[in-house]
This record gives sequence, structure tokens and C-alpha cells, in this order.
Amino acid sequence: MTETVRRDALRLTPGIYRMTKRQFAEAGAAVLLAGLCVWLLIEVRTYPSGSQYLPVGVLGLAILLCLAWLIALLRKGGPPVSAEENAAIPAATPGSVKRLLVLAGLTGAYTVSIPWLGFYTATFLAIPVISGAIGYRNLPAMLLSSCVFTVVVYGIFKLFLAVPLPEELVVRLMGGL
Amino acid sequence: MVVFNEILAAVPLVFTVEVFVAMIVGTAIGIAIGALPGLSATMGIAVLIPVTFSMSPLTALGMIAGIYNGAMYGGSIPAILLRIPGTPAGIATVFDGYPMAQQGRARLALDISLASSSIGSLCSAVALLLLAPPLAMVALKFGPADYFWLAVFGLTTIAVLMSGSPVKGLLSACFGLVVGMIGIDVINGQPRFTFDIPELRGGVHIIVLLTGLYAIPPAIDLALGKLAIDGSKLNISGKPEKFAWASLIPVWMKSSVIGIVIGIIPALGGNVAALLAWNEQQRSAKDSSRYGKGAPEGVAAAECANNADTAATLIPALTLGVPGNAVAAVILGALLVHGLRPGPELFTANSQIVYGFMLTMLVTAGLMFVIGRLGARLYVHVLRLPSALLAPMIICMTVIGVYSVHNSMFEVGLMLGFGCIGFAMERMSIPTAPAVLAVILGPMAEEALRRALLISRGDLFYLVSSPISWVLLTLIGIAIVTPVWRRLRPQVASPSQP
Amino acid sequence: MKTIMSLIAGVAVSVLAVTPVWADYPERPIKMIVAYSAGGGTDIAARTLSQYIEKYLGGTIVVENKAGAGGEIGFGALANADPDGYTIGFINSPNVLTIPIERETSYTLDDLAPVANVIYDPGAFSVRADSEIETLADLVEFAKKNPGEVTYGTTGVGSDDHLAALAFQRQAGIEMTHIPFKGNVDVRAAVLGGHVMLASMNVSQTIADHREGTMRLFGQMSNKRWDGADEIPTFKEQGFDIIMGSDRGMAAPAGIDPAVLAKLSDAVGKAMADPEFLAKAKAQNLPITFMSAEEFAAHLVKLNASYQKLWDENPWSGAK
Repeated sequence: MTETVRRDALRLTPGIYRMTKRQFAEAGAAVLLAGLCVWLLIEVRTYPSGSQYLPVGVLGLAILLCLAWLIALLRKGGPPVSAEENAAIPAATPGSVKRLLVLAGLTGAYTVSIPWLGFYTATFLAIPVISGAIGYRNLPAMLLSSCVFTVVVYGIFKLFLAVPLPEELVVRLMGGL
Repeated sequence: MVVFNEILAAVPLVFTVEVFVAMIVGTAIGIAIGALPGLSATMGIAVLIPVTFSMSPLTALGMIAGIYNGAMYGGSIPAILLRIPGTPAGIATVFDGYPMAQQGRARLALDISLASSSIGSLCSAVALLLLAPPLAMVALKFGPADYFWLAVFGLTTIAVLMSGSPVKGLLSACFGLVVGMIGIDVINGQPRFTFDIPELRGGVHIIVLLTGLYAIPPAIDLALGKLAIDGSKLNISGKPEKFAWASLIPVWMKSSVIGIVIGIIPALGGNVAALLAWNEQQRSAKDSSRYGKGAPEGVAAAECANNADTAATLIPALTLGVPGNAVAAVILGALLVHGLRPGPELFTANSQIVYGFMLTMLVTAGLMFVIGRLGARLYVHVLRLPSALLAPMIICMTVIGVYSVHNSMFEVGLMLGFGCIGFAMERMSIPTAPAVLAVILGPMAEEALRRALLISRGDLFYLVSSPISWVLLTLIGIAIVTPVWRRLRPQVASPSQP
Repeated sequence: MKTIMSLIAGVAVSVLAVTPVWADYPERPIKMIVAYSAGGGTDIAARTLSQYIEKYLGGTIVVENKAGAGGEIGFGALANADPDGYTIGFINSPNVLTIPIERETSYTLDDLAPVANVIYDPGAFSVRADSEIETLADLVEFAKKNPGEVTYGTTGVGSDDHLAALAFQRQAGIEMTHIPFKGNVDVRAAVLGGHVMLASMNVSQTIADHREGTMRLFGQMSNKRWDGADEIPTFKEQGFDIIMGSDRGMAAPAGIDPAVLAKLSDAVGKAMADPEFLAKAKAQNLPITFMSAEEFAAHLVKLNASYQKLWDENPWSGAK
């Protein structure tokens, strides 16, 4: 682990601090979070007094905690983390970041398409597309699992539970004929 | 014995075909979810709650009981075979289970794990049946001031007992408190943090938050191939060997008690119970050197304790509405979805359902043994499922599930947003459990305090005017002092990892 | 307001001459929006009734729950739906009226065409059985001697319980302290536990406790005593002119064809007279009160005016 940490280390201010990428990201998160809390705090000030106590207290505490986090990061590279926890967090590689972005984009597209395509059609398409995009290449398995999953979900939600999900585009088109 | 009669009255309800099938399905799914590394009982229940929406409440709860018990056992399968705990609670099973598998005794280790899990669950369910009703009667006497201290006690234990960095644990709790405040302030009708979005006025539904925090990050991990499994290691062939099961009885007794006690204390979970039980077993054994090198008693202690934790966590959750851990929080969410408000009223107005639920915890403990026995080989194959296929399925399931909560696409977006936050939190080692507990306990504390002050017209002495308040204040004191005292004492030898 | 008036006129005309174009209505399933979660009181009532409406309307009805924001999401979805008769929904007073009074919303009462009222659950006052308060007069006397000492629990700010208590305070000239809770279960527990003195809760929610002898119900806010609680005197009988409670009725988006509206209203009326439905309603303790489209519309207009007046004099929310 120390080896990778060394390799990832980047100079923030030459000669003073050495931060790993992860610590750098954490510091960014702490600053962002503190900023968000300040913004919410301004919003909270418009509330009547009874509604203000808890939010003001919580946001104030959160700002202090963010500062403590930031100070700890700057001084000794973050609050103590146990070895197990550290090992559980894999280092970000360019490949995984790309996959993460692809996954996020496709999940977003899937969600947006549901009201248009209908839930079952969208799901039927999403499973092979997403698994393909993250590097799965077994086409028969993809199609089979997509079919089985869609049928099972259809069985549970449509027939068994009668939950009204967005109407299917295919059904609409066929109904229009 | 009114309570006893009410329990008896619930028995026929549990043994209807519908409920029984739900329990079998739940247990079978639970073991599979537990066996898959990264998927926990919390996630399984959160994702499957929507499926239970239009079931009768007891059918739904029976299925949830099955998932809960099953997942706790399922976690031991990869712990033994692959040295990867399937759920956090399986961590102590690794210590002796994996060495046993290496010695070619995987089959025996799995059998011991299954038997110990079933016995732990059984003891826990009995404890729930015996302890919850009297506690519910006491809970009727709780006034707003008492509820305030109770919620504060819950929040204190989270803050103090959470392992790792207190700064991060508290930040997570703050996040939960802010999410809990979203919506209309019950006391005076002021909308808070709603930003004029009508969907936010009613607050964030707990299922939306839990699904986001607990189901999306593992799905991302699966998609990134972080939880890839080496299939060649999955080998449970090995001759069935003779084993003196009676020698495990004292282990089971001790570990069950540890599991139950830990379960009742808020903020401690199955992982703590299993570690403590394993430690205790090693400490008290005559030849402690065997532990960590494949001692059957080690597997038994760890698995028995983490299952003994299951029903016990529900004791404060059902009677007082205070969830001890994330799983209990999801189960509270499930109860709410079915119109059941946790608290003493549950035991009078819906006594058949609540006792029925407790009985399903008991029955699924037995079912787990049968299903685990019959399906042992099948469950090993679950581990071979390609993660790249599993990931999109989990995402699709969460989307449809959350949509069906309120038929709202907005909440689906919100859930995915929480998922991203949960993933970021995981990557920065910020625990998510404090956030989930704070979402429930925060509003409870705030409303109770303000209600108490309204009733007393601002008189602060009202807050310390009842004996229950004093008991709770004492507990808060103990919760704060204990870790300090523990730090001053020499450290208990931590389990040596094999 | 104009919409409602014209609707009433429209309904009257259309009853006389049903246009043959709508004779086939309904041709496809009708969506019924319920603004509360599945399994809740409104949802169960809606699902029970919908089976009988189907019987008399001759079509299928699919219940869709659109819960959130105290009903606002569902009411808004109903008001903004296509007024083709294939989207109807349940509306609950006072929420459907008070939400647009309290804040900017995506609908107002004018965007809704009332179909029929189904349930009227009168508000009521109750105390723990060992309390010395036995009538409204006792309550007023006690509150006058100890201003602010009477604490009353309700199911939330702006709920029918809260508004009813506000109206009572104004009429009786007394001052009580409001303690809002999240649900009637919590109010009941607080009163039984002796933490709150008075429960302002609907009759149907309290009558069981009254008959068991754990709580004392001493007034219902209806015109005449509800069949399910005919031993409880009304507020009117005790000298207070307060008629408040929660209505659960049905509505369609404004602009619906009057003939369709009449057909729907008629079907609801017949469904509610069905003996099978009446038996189920009794089993569920539903205080059913049928009001035709015109009656219900007039009732809502009147209620709306009274809530607006209450709000203008002293807004009940966000003010503390």
C-alpha cells in the first residue's frame, strides 16, 4: 500500500505537503461540503425561530467537522484509518474512472428513457447495453439474463402486484395500429 | 399471560400457505444475497420491500424475516471458501472458517456455520418474543421528554460507538440529520430544505435513502469488477466427516447470549457480536492456540453470535421505534410502508401482525437450516454469477422498486443521487450507518423536544421530571463514559488475523 | 368559482339530456388517483368503493397512488390531467383546500370538478376517561380559569383537527396550547399516557376507545349525530356552531364534459347505496355521507371561504 501511496503522491505545494490523490480528493470534498453547509445555513436563517434551532446546530457542527477533517488532512494525511478500511478502498485507475462514467451515463439514460419507452422495454435494453459497456462479452448470456430478468420483474410487478408502471411504447404503438 | 395468548393467536396466521411460501422464498433469496460479497441484508431488504407492497403485511414481513436471517448465514459461505466475508458480519467467520477450508474441511465448516446460524437465530427470536412485549408496556408510559432522551441516547451511541474516525462518523450523522429535516416541520408547518419542490415537502422516504445508500454502491463496485471472484477456489468436495456436535452446545449458549445483548444495544451490529464471541471463545478455551487455525468452535461462535444479533436488534426497534442498526432501520421502513407505526401501539392495535412477525423470525431460523442444507451446492454456484450482469440487474431493480413506492420518477432520481453520495462516502471511508440512524432519530429527538417544551410552556425542568428520563440520562452517561474508560484500560488483545 | 357554478348549471342541463356521444363512456380503463400511500385510510376506502363504482359504471377503474406533500402531489396531478373523464381522483378536505391557501401550488379548487362526496368524518374532542371534563362547557370553564393550560393534540399543523380546535377557541373565547403529532396513533398514546390533556381527533378514530372506557368522547362536529356514534352529542347541541371534519370525496379535472360528470356522480351514488358496500363500510368503520356533485361543490366552496377567513385572521402555519 505504501508503495502505491508514494507513486500516487503529488506535490501540492512544493517542499511543504505531500498528499496522495485520495487525500487531495478528500480535502476537496471537505471544502465543498463546508461551502454547501454555509449556503444551507443562509437559507435556514429565513425560517421561523422554532424551525431554526436544529438546522443551525447541525450545520454549524458540520462546518466545524469539515474544518477538523481538513486540518487533519493537511497535518498528517487524514484522520486515522484502519488498515482494513484502507485495503477495502481500491485505488482509482483511469480504466475504472472511465467505466464509472460510462455506468453513470447509461444509468441516467436508462432512467430518462423509462417514461418514453416504458419500464420493461427500457430494462430489456438496459441490461445488455450496460453489461456490454462495462466489458462483458458473452452475448447469449446477456440476452438470456435480460429476458429472464424482464419476465420475472414483469411477473412480479404487473401480474402479481398490479403496480401501474409507465406505459410501454410498444404497447402504445400496437394499440395505435 | 395475555401476551402468551396473543402469541398463540398469531400462530395460525404464520402457517398459512401464503406466509409460508413468502418465508421460504425470503430465506432462499436471503442466503444468496448474503453469499454475494458486497450485497448485505440491508440492501436485499431495501431493494425487495417494494415487491412486498401489495402483499398482506404478515406475508411481507415473513419474507423480510427470511431475507434477514438468511443473509446473516449466507455471508459465511464466501467467508469460508474464499476468505471474503459476504457481509460485514461474516468477518469473524473468516478466522477459522478459511483455514478449515484449506485443510479440506470446507464441507464441515459450512455445516457448522449453518447449524450455528440457525441456533443463533432461534435463540434471538425467542429473546424477541420474551423481551419485546414487556418493554412495549413500559414504552406506553413514555412522554415527549422521555422520547427526546431516548432519541438522544440513540444518537449518542451512534456517535460514540462508531468505529474508525469520529469526525467522519459525526459528519455522516450530520448528513442524516439534514436529510431527516427535509420536508414540512411537523411542529409549525414550515417547509425546510424543500427549495419549493413539491415532492420534497413530504420529506425523503426512508426507502429512497436506504436503497440509494445501500444498493447503488455495491452495484457500482460489481460493475467496476472490484468484487471479482476466482471461481477456481470454489471447492466444497470433501468427505463428510464425523463430528461431535454436542461439544458445540456450550459455545452456542455463550455466543447466543453475546449476540442478543449486542443486538439490543443501538449502533452495534452483527460484526461486533461475531468478533466479541470469537474473542471470548478463544480467551476462555483451554488451548487457545488452535483458534485462527481452523478450530470448528471458532466458526460456531462467530456464526452463532451474528445470527443471535438479528431478532434482538428488533427489540428496541419494534417497541420504541429506535432502530439499532441499518437493517432495523429498513425493517422500520417496511413496517411504515404497510401502515404499521413502530411503538407500543403496535403491540395493542396490531398485536397479531407484530407477534406473527416475531414468529416468522423463529420459523425462518428453522427454514434456513433446511434450505441451507438442501441448497448448499447451489449457493456455491451463486458466487459464479458474472458481476457485470449482476450490476445492471441490481440497478434496474432499484429503479423499479423506488418508482413503485410513490409512482414518482423524481424519487428515482433522488435515490440515484443518494447512491452517488453513498459511493463517494464509501470511497472516503465515511460510514453510512450513522446517516441512516440519524434520519430516523433526528426528527424524533427534535419533535419530542419541541413538543415537550410546548406542553411545559418552555419549562426546562419538565425534561427531567420523570423517572424514565433519569434512567435514559444515566444510559447516555454510560454510553459516553464507556469508550473513554476502555481507552484508559489496557487494550483487549485484538483478534490475530490468520 | 365561475367554473364550479357553470359546472353545476351544466350538470343540471345534462341530466335532462344525456348526449348520445357519451353513451359509450367508459370505453377504456379509468385511472383513479389517490393522493395518499397504498394501505392508508383513503386508499382502502378508495379501493373498496372503486369495485362498486365499476359495477354501476360498467368499466374498470385502476387506482394509482400519488402520495406526497400532504396530498398536494396527487391533487395537482388530478387537477392537471386531461379532463376526458378517464382520470378521476379522491380529494380530501381540508388538505385540498388549505394547501393552496398556505402556499403557491400547481392547482386551486377551481381546477377541480367535484363528482361526489363519499366520507364525512366529523371532528371530535375527547379526553382520558379519568378526566374531570365531561362536556364542552366544562372544558370552556376550565380553560377560562387556566388560560393556555389545556394542551390539545392533533395530527399536525393545518389538519382538520387543528383547524377545528382553532375555530372552537375563537368561538368560545378561550386559549389552548397546540401540540402537533404525526398521526392519530401518537395523539391517542399521548392522551392515554396523560402527557396531553385533550385529543382533537375524528369521531371514527376515537369511538372505539370511548366505548371501551379508556377515553371520553364529548362532542362531534357534525350537523347531526353520526350513526356510528349516536350517543355522542354534537357541538351544535352544546351551543357551539362548529361543523368541521375531514371529507373524502371524488373529483375530476375541471373542464370535464358535464354528461360524463353526471354519469360518474350517478354511479358513485348507486355504489354507495349498494348494500354490500354499506356492509363493508360498516366493517371498516367508515362514516359515509353521500353528497351529489352540486352539493359537494357548494360544500367545498363554503368550507374554502371559512378556511380562507381563518387564515387571513391568523395564519396557522409557519407563524410560530
